[in-house]
Amino acid sequence: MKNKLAAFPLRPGDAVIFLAIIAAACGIWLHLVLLQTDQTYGEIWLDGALYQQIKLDDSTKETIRLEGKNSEVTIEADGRQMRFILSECPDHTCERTGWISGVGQTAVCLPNRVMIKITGSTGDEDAVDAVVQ
Amino acid sequence: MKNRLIGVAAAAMLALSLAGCGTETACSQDFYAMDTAMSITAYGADAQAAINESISYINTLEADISRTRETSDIYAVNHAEGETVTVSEQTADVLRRALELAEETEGCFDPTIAPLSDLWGIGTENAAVPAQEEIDAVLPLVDYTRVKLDGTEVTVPADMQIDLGGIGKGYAADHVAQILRDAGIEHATISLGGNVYAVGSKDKGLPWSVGITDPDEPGSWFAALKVSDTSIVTSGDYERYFEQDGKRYCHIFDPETGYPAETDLRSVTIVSADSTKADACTTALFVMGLDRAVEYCKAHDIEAVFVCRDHTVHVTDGLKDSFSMDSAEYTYEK
Repeated sequence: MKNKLAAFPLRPGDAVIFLAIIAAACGIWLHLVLLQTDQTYGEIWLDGALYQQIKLDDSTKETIRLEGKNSEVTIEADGRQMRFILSECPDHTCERTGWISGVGQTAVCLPNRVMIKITGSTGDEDAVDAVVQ
Repeated sequence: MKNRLIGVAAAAMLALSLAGCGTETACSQDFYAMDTAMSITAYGADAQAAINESISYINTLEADISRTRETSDIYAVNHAEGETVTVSEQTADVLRRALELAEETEGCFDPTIAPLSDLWGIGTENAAVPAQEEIDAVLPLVDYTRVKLDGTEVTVPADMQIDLGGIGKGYAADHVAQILRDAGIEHATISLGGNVYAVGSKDKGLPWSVGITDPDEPGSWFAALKVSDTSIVTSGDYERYFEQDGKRYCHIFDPETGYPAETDLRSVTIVSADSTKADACTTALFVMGLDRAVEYCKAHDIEAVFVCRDHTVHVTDGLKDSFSMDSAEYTYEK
């Protein structure tokens, strides 16, 4: 045992190096944690491509009109939530979906291939990984 | 000196690996197929390639079983005027499952419902309650027992129609889950038009949390289930419907009456590793209504969550430990 320790001697300076490395690791970890704020974004995707991203906070108030695959679609962002308010399509399923506000929630206008979704990180313990519809 | 350097390097690697815990790369892709929006999120080095393979698979399945594509097997069968058509092995397999599930569910799920849904036009601009004579004329065309499947040869009487949309997404989810597993993916969520397949468990062995859509507010969920390596499928009256004279007519039809199913249920959610079966059974149980559906679940070992019109929620015994309510608008009948 003594021989093994002798083959790998630790000197006072080593402790400084170890502490520096651990401090750096803690710094990276803390940075990652701090990045996980509750900021959410409302994203509008048109036919699989990101059309617009809106930062959602209490002061958000925006109406977005865009030309979907077949007709015009109107989307509203209000505070931390978002919804379809008008789609000139036959089924109007997207309008009936109503407000979405939780990270991972989506609403889709199929005929126009427009999807809205909430993204960002959340510390919400009630957050889900997927929603069955 | 050399040993010290090795020690420092090992400590650095250990520290950096600890700092990076939980940052396994996720690949996520949204896409459209089978007339619906789909999404796959997979974790691991080969995730993107596995997702690409999954999308290719779904496209080949759709090319075979689409009812509207003129080059599909099902289009050919539906337009053969009663003649026998040879279809691909894949189409035959989906049709075989559909016919088996129709039999198992006592016809409450019927893959020949299309003439009826076409008549009502739900989801189109022409959606309206048809005259009773029109319904009576179409009802004899809804009968899965008249479909003949022999190997890959399919015969359907003239004017009847096969629509595999009722199990297509479930069938696709089962196969996509297998494609991901075969690619070594241990954690993934698959959402095919609202049918979810949770592959493996979440990071660190924790179960996935899957929300169940609130029938009153379809943009939200009212409850969640903690699950691993299984599919979850829901059918409800909030998906596609129209209203006439203040009454809601949903897209799920009762093959007996020819009318949209009108029971005490708002939605049915099934948890099963067999997503194809879950897909057919959500439709069938919705048609059955709560009491018959609960009995059916007991007899066939099915785990389900039922939301009723009176805002009560009923959960089968096998799901009670993994079920949690997130909304005060519903009453959990334990």
